Amino acid sequence: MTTKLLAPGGNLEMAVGVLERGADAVYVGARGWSRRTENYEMSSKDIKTLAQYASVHNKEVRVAFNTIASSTEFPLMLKTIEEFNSYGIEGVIMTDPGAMSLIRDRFPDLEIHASAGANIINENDIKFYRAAGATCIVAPCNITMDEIKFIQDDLNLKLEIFLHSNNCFTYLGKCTMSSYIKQDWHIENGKNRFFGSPNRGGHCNRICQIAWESGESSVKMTNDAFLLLNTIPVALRNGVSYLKVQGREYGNSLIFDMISFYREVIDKCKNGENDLSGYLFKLNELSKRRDVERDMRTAGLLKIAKSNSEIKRIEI
Amino acid sequence: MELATHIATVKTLTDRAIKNFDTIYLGDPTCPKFPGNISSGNDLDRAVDRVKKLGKKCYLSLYAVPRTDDFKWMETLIEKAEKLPIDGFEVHNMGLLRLIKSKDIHAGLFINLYTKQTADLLKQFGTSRVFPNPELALEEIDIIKKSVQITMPINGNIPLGISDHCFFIDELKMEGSCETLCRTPKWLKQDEWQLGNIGRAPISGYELCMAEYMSDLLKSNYQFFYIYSFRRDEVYLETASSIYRDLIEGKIDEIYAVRELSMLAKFGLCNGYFFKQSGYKYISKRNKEAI
Repeated sequence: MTTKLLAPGGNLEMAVGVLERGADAVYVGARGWSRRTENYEMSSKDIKTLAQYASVHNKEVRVAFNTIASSTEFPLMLKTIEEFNSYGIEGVIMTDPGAMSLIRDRFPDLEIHASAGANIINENDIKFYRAAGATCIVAPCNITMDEIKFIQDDLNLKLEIFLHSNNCFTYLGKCTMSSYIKQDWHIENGKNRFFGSPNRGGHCNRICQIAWESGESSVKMTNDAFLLLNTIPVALRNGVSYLKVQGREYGNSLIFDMISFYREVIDKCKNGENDLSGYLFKLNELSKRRDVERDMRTAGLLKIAKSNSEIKRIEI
Repeated sequence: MELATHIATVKTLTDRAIKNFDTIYLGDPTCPKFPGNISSGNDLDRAVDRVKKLGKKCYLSLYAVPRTDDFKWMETLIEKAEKLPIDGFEVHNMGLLRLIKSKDIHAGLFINLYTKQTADLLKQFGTSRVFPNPELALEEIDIIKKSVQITMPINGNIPLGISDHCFFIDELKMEGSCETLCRTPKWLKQDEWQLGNIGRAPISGYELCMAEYMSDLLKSNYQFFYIYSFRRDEVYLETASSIYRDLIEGKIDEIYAVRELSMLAKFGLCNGYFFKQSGYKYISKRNKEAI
């Protein structure tokens, strides 16, 4: 099986740019439905343009519907996916198993990636999500070789591994600390944006990153971003389907450089090169640039969380 | 009407603690290392025996975030528990659903249930009752209730997530045994915000309190109520459950109940997310202002 590089598309320019720089597939957020704020989601018109571009260049498009909708929003979700399906997208990224089940019934040919937010952490979880309709599973952190073989060989499912993402203190998709501190309901075009809930609206206030007073000391909870390198040859040897770079919310320039970097590394590994030590310096440089952007965004989000105003429009 | 809570260990499964409850979820699903945790199989027979002798229902609460390796011990535990006179299992992980062969299943808090569509799916796997994700508003829970029985939380510190590592040991770098470290929550403060942590789960600083709204919940035909009680003592369990019992039976009024419950709360009360607001706020039914 060919391993594909799956890149983020936080806007149309980023989405086309990563494909030009060697990504095999791009994922974008459907406006109102993805685990990012609307600045990093795309309009129907842009998704249509992207799908046409990808089709001409033999690339793939995934659309993230990975916030958890309210029960009454499912008809709108189905209508929206039907529209994107008509544009020729290859798959969707989802979290809610009930939603996956409906999509599988309605669009049997559509690839369904079970999102990181689905929090799939064991082999029996994987069986459950397969029964719900998932065709591709995001690997749990510290996935074992046995689990990789089980997913791909025994269950015949595709597997996605993150090259760039972050680990929170809590399991992704199961944290409600952000909306405990600040949440606003805001309905736009029939879809509630659930500002403040990363699970439902894509906006996380990152309150775990405040220096919380704990007695005499202060503490921030773990929220480590990572960029992987040595995982790549292992993933290629084991036929992992997708190597994913998370980052719709970062600047285009940084993401373009990350994708060019990973394209080069993957191609080297495919040609039998396993010594990646020569790439460490460049990886560290990318990591530093990523941290600068990430810290600025965290500071902005915390400022909004601390303000008295409703969240509504986010310009960070 | 049914009132339920979790009791982590046989030691804390006292007559005083559980006398006002109808259903006990045995164990603490957040951490298998919690000393004496019934969820890990400690004293399971004794715990079931004690609850059953008092004529109450009991469900074994299973570890919420098992990795593949955990299934070895969990399958043995489930097999053993299925032979005991428990009423069923509380399951927080989708992967565990298929392992329950002959008992009732209640989907617990960490299963992350947000939609009626997922509730319908869980029913196909033998689930009879679900715990709605705390982020849901009442009007959203009403929709899910058309599909499946609801466990409705009404009081206590709301768990706000779950982790696979320990806040005390891995984040605060505290030294000591689990017996010492895990006795009480660690409280965190930032201006008016209050959070807590019980080891592998952050919890709300402010306590959920739905006493003012009990008559509305009963009118809406909610029947299965739940009090969060991780790391709380028997005095809390006895007092909080007694207040809700008296309130439901019309022996006390709502304002009196709220006052009494606020005295049990370390930092104050909240309504959680039920009224579409930030989880830490309290909206009073009477004056629509925070208490």
